[in-house]
Amino acid sequence: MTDFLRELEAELTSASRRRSARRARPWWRRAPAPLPRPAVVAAAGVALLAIVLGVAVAALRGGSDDRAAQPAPVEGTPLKALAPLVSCPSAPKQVAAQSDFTKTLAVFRRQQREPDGLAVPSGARATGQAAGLPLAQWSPEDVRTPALGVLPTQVQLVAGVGAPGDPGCAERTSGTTPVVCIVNARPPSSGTRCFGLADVRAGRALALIDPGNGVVAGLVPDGVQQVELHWAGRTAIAQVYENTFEATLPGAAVGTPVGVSFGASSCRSGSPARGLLETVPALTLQSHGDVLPAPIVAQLKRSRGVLTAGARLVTSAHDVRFWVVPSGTTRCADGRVAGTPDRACALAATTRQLYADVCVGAADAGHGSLMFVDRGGGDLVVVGIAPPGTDAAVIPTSKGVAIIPSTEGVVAGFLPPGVTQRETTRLKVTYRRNKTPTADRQTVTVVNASGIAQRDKAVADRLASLARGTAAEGEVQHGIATLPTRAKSVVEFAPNGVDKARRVAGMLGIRTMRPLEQGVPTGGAAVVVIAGSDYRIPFSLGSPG
Amino acid sequence: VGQNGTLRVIERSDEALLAALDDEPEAFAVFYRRHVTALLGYFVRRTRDPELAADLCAETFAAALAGAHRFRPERGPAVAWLYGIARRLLAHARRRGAVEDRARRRLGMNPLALTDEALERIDALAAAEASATALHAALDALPADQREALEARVIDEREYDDLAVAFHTSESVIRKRVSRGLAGLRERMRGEAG
Repeated sequence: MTDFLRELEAELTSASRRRSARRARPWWRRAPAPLPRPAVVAAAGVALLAIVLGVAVAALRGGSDDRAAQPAPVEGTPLKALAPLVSCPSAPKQVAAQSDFTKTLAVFRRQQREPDGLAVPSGARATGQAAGLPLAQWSPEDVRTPALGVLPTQVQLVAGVGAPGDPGCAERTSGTTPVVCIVNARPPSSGTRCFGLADVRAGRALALIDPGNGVVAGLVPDGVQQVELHWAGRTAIAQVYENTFEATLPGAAVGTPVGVSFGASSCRSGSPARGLLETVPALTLQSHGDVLPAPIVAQLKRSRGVLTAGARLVTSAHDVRFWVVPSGTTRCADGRVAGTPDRACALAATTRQLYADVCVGAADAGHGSLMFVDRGGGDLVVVGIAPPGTDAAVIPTSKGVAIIPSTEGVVAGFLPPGVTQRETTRLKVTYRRNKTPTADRQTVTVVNASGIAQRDKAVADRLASLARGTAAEGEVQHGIATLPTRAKSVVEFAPNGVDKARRVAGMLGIRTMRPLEQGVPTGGAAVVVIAGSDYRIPFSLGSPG
Repeated sequence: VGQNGTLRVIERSDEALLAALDDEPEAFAVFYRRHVTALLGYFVRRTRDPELAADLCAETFAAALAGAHRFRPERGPAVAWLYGIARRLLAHARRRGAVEDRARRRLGMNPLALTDEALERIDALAAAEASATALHAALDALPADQREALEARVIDEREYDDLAVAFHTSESVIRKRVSRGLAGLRERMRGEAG
């Protein structure tokens, strides 16, 4: 049986268990099933009725019961500690990036940064940097430090091939399963533990990373923003950053059964609407692993649903970070957007304080929207969304004309020193039209270097489909040349094509971008996608949030 | 345990597996394993596209799981019902140019990733399934004495002297039946390939 068929069997069996549990419950205790579209009108009526009934039931019970919206409690998995990083005689074989986890976990799909490099304690380093990893194969490109600076313990994730759990030296080399290992390189609690895809999906990818203090770290699939942990009759909630969470479970020790349930799984978040991506192209920027800080997320979620996985750091200046994040007015119990995010919020914030958030929908972004905020010390922060086709906000002030640039639709900067908050109420803002044609309509060439016939056509079709209606839309050509097979896909760009290249790479999930190399056939395009053998056409484009 | 001490595994029917789902959700895995290869082959032969076939296969089983409580054994065997779903989804995919994912969404199933290796293996699996189907058809078409001798010798790997006793005939007759059976099989398979 192929991996795919095995995975499908696992998915169907899990679905069967859920179905069985659901059918075993009386109808009034079942979680609501998603309704088909034609039933939307009927749903409105049902919702109204539900509100009336809900109020009545709450009154009878003497309060509301949020637990009804939660998934069924998950059986506990006995907690295991990290295993020591033991160097074996035969080190894991180093291979090109090829982990199945790159498709399953977004943290592996984003570009690698400097802090992502593998770090292991000096004892293990002595016999080779990766000798302590309990893997048969690994790739330096499949190593990530998730949510740097956000998670209290700086663990690393290493995806590779091996055996889940804590395989000994003899078992390491024979493992053939795609696994991801949580590695804590910092003594005294340094160690590692590896998990398979099924563990991650079932909430079993969890390890005790600091036994003295009951600190656990775990991995969850894409789309999970919050987990609920149950142990010894207690419950804790942990936020998820880059597929990873960390929580302190007082009293938990090795062997304590811990159940992990994914927050409000019946409430789904979709991808931002295409119109919104076209209006605010910053939402299509490639992620570089920057995570919206928890205090900022918490402040945002008070008033709206937020898709934190879609947050992009646009720029930063003077300790202020300017972000863009998809949001929506309807939200799940855990603060995620329920359904399709229909608004983009431009944010100005530090790591702890949200100065301003300006949210617009695709329909009302045509005029632009700005906010001025005094962050103290006379600094007036400007943040907002610029109308499409403009590249800066022009603001005449008493201290001169401020030209605040817009980056992919997000206006971010400061007013000149000396301008007061009071004066901002009188300021008139205009937006500067783009001086040069944007990269929007630039042609992209897809060249096949995968060794698989027609792969360039498949990639071109996929790109054209994804880009339709967005800022990355434009002609996509293929079939002009076939290059020798290469392992890695790359997006190359001419100097005037960098913006479009960034969008294209983001859409296709290609992690490497570089200026055009000599000899690469361009077909006159400013952006060339070289599809290597690592490029996979996703099985399903419609992924749950 | 049988009379001679060998373990006999009694397989439940497809219909029994579907009926047991509420109490025994894992029964669906048995139903799935029993039919997935053939269904995949069915889709690959009709679409000539392993990716599309895999997608259709996943949705068919999801639809079968989601609708298992509506299955009525009195209307026909479960396998016919499964292929009925498969035909409907195939027709829908041809009409719309896209595979439905309603059942998978309804069941909250995660999207599955297909690697090139998996696609190649699905292709090979479908080809092997097609060969196996053709082989079974060719076996069924053989005269009964040749088929029985062939199965006993090749599949069960029994010795000629043992078979001679079992079939109440001589060893040389068994050898002849096996030899003719193999020749007939070869001829039919060649005809199938051509």
